[in-house]
Amino acid sequence: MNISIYLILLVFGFFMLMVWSFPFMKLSLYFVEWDFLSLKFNMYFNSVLFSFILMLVTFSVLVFSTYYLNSELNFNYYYFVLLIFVGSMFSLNYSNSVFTMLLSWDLLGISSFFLVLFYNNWDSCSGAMNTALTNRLGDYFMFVFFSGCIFSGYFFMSFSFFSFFMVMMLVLTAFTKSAQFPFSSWLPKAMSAPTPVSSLVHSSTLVTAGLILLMNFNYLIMHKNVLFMCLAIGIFTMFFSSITALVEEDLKKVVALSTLSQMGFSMVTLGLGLNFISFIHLVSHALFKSCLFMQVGYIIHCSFGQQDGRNYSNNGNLPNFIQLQLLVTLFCLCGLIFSSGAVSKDFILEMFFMNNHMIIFGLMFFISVYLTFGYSYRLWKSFFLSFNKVMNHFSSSVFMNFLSFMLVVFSVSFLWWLNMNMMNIPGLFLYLDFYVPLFYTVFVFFMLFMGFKLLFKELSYKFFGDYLAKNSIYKMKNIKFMDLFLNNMMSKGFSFFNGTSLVSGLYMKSKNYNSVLILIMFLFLLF
Amino acid sequence: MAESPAWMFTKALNHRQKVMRLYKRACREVDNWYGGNNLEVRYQKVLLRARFDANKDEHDTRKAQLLLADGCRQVWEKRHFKPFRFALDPGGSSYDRERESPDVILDSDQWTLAEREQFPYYFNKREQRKKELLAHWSKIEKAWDDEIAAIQTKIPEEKKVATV
Repeated sequence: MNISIYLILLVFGFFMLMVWSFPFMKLSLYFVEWDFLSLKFNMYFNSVLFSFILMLVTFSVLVFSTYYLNSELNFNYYYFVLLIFVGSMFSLNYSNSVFTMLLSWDLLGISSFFLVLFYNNWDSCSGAMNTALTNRLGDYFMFVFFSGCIFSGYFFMSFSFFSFFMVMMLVLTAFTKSAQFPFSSWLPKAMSAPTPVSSLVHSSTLVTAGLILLMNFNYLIMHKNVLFMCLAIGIFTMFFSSITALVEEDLKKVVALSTLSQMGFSMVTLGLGLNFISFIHLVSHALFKSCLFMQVGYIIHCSFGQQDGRNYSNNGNLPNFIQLQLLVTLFCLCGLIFSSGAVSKDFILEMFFMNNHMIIFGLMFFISVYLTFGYSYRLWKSFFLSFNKVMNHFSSSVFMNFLSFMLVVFSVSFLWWLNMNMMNIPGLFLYLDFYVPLFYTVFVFFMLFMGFKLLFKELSYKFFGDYLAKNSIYKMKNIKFMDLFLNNMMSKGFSFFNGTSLVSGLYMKSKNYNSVLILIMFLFLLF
Repeated sequence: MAESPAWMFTKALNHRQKVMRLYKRACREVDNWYGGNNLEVRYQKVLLRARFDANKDEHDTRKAQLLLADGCRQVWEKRHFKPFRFALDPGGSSYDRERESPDVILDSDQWTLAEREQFPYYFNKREQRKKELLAHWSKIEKAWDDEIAAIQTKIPEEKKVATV
């Protein structure tokens, strides 16, 4: 049977999971339970939504990586470690026991180390060591926290003091993983990883793992001292990373610092106690940040691997449609209206300014949000306003246009749709009473059938089974052929984005467009 | 630790060459600071050239050397914290990514003969080249010996001035 049917059913299964979890708001799977060594998984609305986004981002990144790492000899290595990483992120998302959480947390750290270590040059090795050691420190904090949990059944005189320190350990481990203030040095250095790695790992999964941890332990964190710490560190992270993003020359590091700034933003909302909003911000940020990384990575790859923004020679010749999409992605990042960034950011800004703070916090927060516009503009400017022009491009890809278009459309509209329709979802239940059990049984049997068929027929009886993993990579890494096909079509005259290039290219290359853009951003900032 | 080959790349420079190197270095620093903004880059480079041209016709050698040293000091003080590097150069972002394997792995016996037989032309030519290299080795060694002997090892004797 065709794999696309499987994929479509998988997507449908996600939505069904969200619906089925209605009776108790969660669905649990306990595989093994033996006191400490217990593999338990929990599926409720937050985690299912996040894993849906994660799946979307993962597929996009896999396709993108066939373009970016096209002629690499180590592609198999990269693919396997990436799959381990994605698996551990999924299991962290759904985990419900100490053992599962520890296992997936450590596996995240280790696999991100191996991913950053892809190229064997000095930059990669030092960046990977930075990543691994900082994550190791976070693992230490997490182990201390879970060891301290053993004492939760006892009561002694200084218990509240002790548990305060335990919660501090938990918060510190989230800080190391999400690269908040004292531990944020690993994120710009991990940019010596290949860009597909960055767009999956450092945009949406690894850095959100700490925040997801805090969200899962929400009831433990809800204490004003702990939240104050989260708030203060988050604001400080936002502030200094926004300022650094204005001066940094390496554009991939600018994107990393903008990720850092948005993570600080999420930490600020957690510090205000709004964990669902923070989660929604993470979800929308995952979409457009990975899209931004992919577009930036496309431009980097077309400049022969040059990440420094000072010598770019594009000026809109090369990535015609990508330019427009990059702009839209940056709009989403800034939180302009009608995009998904607006949903979370507007609400957070409103909630933040409803409280009374010290003036310095409010000032730092405001400046940081303002500087979001600043570095977005800088990113856009250093790509497309240089004067150098080239005629030939290195391995450009038409397919990338479609890919980032899909992600951009998704990132713009998904949260807006969710925001409009989230209150209407319970209305669905009225119509599903009859059909759900029927569909449930059919679906479960179908999935079981496919599973058994895969396991017992493909993997064991066919000669193919030994090479299934290797073969799937071989089929995967040649998606570039689709790109060559599209180039062929374009040379014969079936062009896809032709309309955008002629007229809007003229408009974009003129210097007037620049000032229009500044005006738009400024107006949105004001209102 | 290997000996440093700096002696191979060092030579005595005259004043003009030193000034040229300083000018190029200063232009690179302007590129670092004013990067993608070609208008500013051009303007600053014109100013830089004007500053160099102002002292072009200096006949006092000591003053010229002092100006050169002062220029070097200024370039050092105004250096950029993260200089621009091309991607494939050392210090650039894409440096040292591709590592070539040593050629000797093609001769390893872990690789089965059947796979090697798929490429007969290549491997036959390789064997032939290996034979030629061994035959040629003695000539190569002799060429190296001649080259080393050609480097001057003795200071030429001073011409004996007749002292009469």
